[in-house]
Amino acid sequence: MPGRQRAPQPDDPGDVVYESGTIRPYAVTGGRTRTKGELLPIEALVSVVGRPAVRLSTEKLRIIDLAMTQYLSIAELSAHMHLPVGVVRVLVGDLVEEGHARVHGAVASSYNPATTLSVLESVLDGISAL
Amino acid sequence: MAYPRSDLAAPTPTAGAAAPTTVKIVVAGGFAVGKTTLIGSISDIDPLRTEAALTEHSVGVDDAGDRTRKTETTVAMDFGRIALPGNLWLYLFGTPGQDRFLFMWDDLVRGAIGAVVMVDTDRLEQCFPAVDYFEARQIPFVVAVNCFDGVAKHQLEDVREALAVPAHVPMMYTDARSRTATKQTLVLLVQHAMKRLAG
Repeated sequence: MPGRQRAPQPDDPGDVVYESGTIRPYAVTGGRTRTKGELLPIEALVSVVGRPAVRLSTEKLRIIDLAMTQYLSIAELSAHMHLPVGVVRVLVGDLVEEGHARVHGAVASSYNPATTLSVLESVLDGISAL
Repeated sequence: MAYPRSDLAAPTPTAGAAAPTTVKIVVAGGFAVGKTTLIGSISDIDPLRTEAALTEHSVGVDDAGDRTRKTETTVAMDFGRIALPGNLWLYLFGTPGQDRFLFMWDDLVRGAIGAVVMVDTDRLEQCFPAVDYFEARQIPFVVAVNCFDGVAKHQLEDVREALAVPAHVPMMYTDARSRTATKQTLVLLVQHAMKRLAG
C-alpha cells in the first residue's frame, strides 16, 4: 500500500471553482453571507415562536412552516429548502432577530455538549442500546 | 436508499417540549467509500443532502486588470439523525472527501464529538487528507476500514502503518451496510473521545 506523507497544514483553500449550475442563492438574503453574532452551528435547532402577523419573504415563511411543529436543524432546513446552509443561517438569524424564531444549541455560550462527559456517556449508552 | 429504517419518527411538537441537545459526529473519507451508506444504516431519517455554498475571495485577472473577486462553489453533504434517550439528537454528517474542500470542514467540525475516517484499502490515499486534518486539529477520530463484500483485504496493522497513525488511534473493520457494524464504529469513537476528555 502507498503510505501517507505528513502533509502541510490543510488551510489552503486550493482552487475553488465557480459552478455555473449554482444559482445565486444569496439573492434571497440580499447578498448577505453572514448574520450578526455567532455563526450558527449547522446542527443548531430552530423552533418557531408563532405564526407571524407580518409579511415575510417566501423563504422565511417556508422556514416558519417547516419548523412550526418540530425542531429542525439548520442542516435539515437547508436540505428541505434546497438552499445552501449559509443562506439558511442568514434567514434564520433574521427570523430570530425579528422575534419569529428561536435557536437552540450551543449558541453564544462556552457550553459544548460534545466535550461534556455526562453527555458523551448518554450518547454512548444510547448508541449501545440501539 | 435500499435499507429499511423507521421513516415514521413522530415529529416533535416544539410547544411544551424542551429542545433536544444536539451533538454531531463527522464521517469522512474519499469519494464513494461508503459514507452515506454508513449514515443510512443507522439514521432515523433517510439521509438528507444539503449544500454548503462556499464563497471565497480570490484574486482573479480580467479585462479590468487585477482585482479581487468572489468565486463560489457548492459542496454536497449527506447527513442523518438519530434520536437517543435523554432528549439527545445525534447528527451524522458525511463530509466531502476532496482535499480542496478541507477548509470548509472547520465550520462543520466545530463542536463535533469526533470523526470516523472511512477507508477503502484499494484507494487508501483518498483518506489521507482527512487523517491529516483531524490529526492537525487534534480532533478525536477512529479509522474504519470498510470491508466491501465483507472481505478484509489487509491487516489493520498494515493499514495503520501505511496511514502513519499512532497506536492510540483506534482502528477497526466495518461494514457500512450493517447497522450493527456502524453501531460498533460509533461506540468506538465515542469511547475514544471520552478517553481523550478524561486524559
